[in-house]
Amino acid sequence: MNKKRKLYAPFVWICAYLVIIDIAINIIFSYPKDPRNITPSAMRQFFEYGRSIEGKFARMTRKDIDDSAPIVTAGWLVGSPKRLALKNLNRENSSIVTVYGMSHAGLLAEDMAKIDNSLTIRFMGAPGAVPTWSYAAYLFEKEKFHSDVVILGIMTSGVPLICTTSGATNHFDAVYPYTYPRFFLSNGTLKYTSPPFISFKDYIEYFYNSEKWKAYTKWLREHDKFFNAVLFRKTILDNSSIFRMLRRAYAYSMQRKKEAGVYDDTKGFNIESEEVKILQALVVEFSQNAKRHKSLPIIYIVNNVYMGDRLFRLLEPTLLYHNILFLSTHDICPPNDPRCYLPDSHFIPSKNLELANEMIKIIRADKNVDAKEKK
Amino acid sequence: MAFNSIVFLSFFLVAYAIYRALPHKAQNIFLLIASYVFYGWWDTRFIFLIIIATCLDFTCSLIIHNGYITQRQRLTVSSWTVIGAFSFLVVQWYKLGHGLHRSQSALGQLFSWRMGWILFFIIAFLTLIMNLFYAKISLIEMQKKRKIFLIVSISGNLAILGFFKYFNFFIGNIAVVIRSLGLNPVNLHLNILLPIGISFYTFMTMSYTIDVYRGRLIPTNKLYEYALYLAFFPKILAGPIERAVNFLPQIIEKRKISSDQIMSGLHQILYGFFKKVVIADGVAKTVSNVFGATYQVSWIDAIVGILLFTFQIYCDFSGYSDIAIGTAHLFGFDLMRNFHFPYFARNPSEFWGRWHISLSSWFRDYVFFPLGGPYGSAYRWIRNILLTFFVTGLWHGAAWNYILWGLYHGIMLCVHRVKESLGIKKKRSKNPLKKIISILFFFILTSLGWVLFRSHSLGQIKAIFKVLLFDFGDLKLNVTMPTHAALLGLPLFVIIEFIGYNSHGKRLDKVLPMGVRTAVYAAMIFLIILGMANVPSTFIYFVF
Repeated sequence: MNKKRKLYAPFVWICAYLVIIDIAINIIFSYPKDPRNITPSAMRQFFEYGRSIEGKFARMTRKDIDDSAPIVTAGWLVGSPKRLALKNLNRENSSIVTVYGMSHAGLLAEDMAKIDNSLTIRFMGAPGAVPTWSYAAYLFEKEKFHSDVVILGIMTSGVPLICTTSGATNHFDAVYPYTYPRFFLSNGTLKYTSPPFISFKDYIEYFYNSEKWKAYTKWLREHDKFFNAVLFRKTILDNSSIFRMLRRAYAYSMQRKKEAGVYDDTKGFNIESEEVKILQALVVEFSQNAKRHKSLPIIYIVNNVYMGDRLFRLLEPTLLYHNILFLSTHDICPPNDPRCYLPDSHFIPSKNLELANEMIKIIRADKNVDAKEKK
Repeated sequence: MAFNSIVFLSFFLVAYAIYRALPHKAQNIFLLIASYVFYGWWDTRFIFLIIIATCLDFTCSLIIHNGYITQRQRLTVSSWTVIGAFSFLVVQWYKLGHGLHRSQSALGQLFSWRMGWILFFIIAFLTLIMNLFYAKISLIEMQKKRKIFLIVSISGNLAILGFFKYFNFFIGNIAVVIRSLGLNPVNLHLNILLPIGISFYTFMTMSYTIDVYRGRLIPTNKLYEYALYLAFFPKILAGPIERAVNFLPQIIEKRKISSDQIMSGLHQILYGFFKKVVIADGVAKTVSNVFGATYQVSWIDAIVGILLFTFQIYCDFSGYSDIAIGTAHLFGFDLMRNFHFPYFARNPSEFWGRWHISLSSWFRDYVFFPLGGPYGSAYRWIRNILLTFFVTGLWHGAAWNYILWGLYHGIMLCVHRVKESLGIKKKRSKNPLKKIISILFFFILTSLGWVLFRSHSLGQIKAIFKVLLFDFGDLKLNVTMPTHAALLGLPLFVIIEFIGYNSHGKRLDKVLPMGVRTAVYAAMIFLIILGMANVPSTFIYFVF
């Protein structure tokens, strides 16, 4: 073998093997074509994580809601079929408690309903809901529906994502098309811009109309801090499993870089960041709004596993100063003790029940709630 | 800049393209500049520490060898020192607005930029004084002069290392002693940031002067050649601790880059990245969960944590060494081997011939043998071994857990030598089963040793051993699992190591046929792509 050939031959072999690996993965771990199949194997899901956001939408969305993947319908601020109203909704003397937030908040609501039969517990949630989603959910229904108690769920990992506007940009591996407004501070006041669509019905209209979809992408580019065209746009490279993995690595690195400006494992939250300032303003405004509408506001602070009690420490001074009730999970579930958490980062059932008990105690301590019950 | 970053990739590509286009002398000067840029990426002011070490040892070694330095050399050293002080202590590079200032705010606590001017004037003044006194110094008798300059070199280097690395440790321990006497010590704790790689280049520069003193090495009379030996970028941050005897001739003589060197370099870089990105970074979170736990971990947590750290530290450090050696190969340099399948060792003596070879051989040559080595009475050689391993532990960090880890290995080595001297297990068993058992047994001992190394306090060491001994059988795994890439990569890693060990360290391309080895390379590349989603971490040995 001559010298040049000796040098280049391995590279040709390596490329050939990589192509074989790529094809083999696509065959062995091919993702089910039917969007309604929600239980593909872990490895099938793993090799799909790197697909572009548009590619994932195309895989899970069909014009008919019944043919689409169930997760496509989750988290919409308007007309979401996934709204949970638990027990006693029509009972006259029952105080209505509405919990807004992510799945942790949903599990809390479920356990609260189990513990206290006299309360009406409602839950409005989205998978991985960020604080702005929860607040927007409250704002969108505060005029239409009165709750005696309103609970806003906020978790540590959601804070760096406050300047996102969709479940499409805030978690790359598992995306959701639901949208929510982009909040910002203008002269110290919290304001927001709404995305072009906030319901599943409108999403379908946009998704299947290239002009409208283009306009939505433009809106995302302008308003969503986490929007990235390389991750968003569907390309032919979606068909390569190796490229999908490369895109995933890129997505993670981008996400880490952006999140690092808000939260750092060693230093904690950056109080100068836009996200932290919005969060502080958001909890205060939520409380003022709720009180104006004769609701009792409570903040449910979920300290994620291995992220310490930093969210609690960040919000505590503001909450105490403005006399806002809150429940922080860090005492019952120390964030550095993984025994309190399930592998999917939710609290173990016994701890969740304890948290629900604590929340009920906070609600029951309020005279108005108690008075209504006594009627 | 770290090897596992896009910045390094860009730096490397540009540097390599320029390097290949230059003639030999220009290559050396260019490599020196590139190395300073590489090192200064963390903080430009630390370049000055390297310049000080370079000038000090260049001067001392010439005086030790020749008895004098020429006026031209003196002028070069003096101007290098003064220009270095100005360039890296006074000039505010961070205002250029690029990555060079990343740790600026942290360092700002050590000294202000005004302090930079003061230091500059002090250094300029001292350089002037040294020049003025040179005539008197040159009159000292040769033997005496040799000894004086050896002491000056060693104490100068140790003073810099001691200040930056051990000052707070010793002050802290003295304060504990004073407090135990019922007194209230003054707080002398300084906010010192450890200059990256200081332990590595300090040992390189010390070995240079000592080798010159011992007559094993003729010093170079060109400052830039010596400066390049010390600052060569692939090895400056975490070794290998290269000896000048091996490396200087490669700088001085014209280098030819063969296709075999390129292949070997690429192979090592690929394997290094595989170990770092796939294994070390892939298990890092699980290990941190165990050793960072604020609750009592379960028995299986502890076992998993210890085992994974055993792989993590090896893959992290040897991965770095592989990338360093591979990169050097691409530039036409041969660096010494730093790891030789250490986890296949059957006893401590063999382990230290396979683990961090450049450091263990340094301590052997410059500490253990000067103390008397393995000779003399049992008391003497046991003392020599324990002292050597005490400083080996201390070299790793200014903390008691590192010292304990060093002593643990020292004690194991003493026991092994006692066993050997008593005639137990004199002959190595050829029985493969016995061989496997002894490898596994020593692997367990090594892994237990890593508990001392990784724990952040003596209390944690105690807690982990308590769990291991008394909570036996608690199989509830609480910690996060390693990443998919790590889980898929670990078996491949073990197979590659096994092939390497069985072929006495030959490269894969010398052992496996083209079709098989390229399949292994492709698998490694694929897993690296998978592993790129892992949270990238700094190389563990950067803090030593």
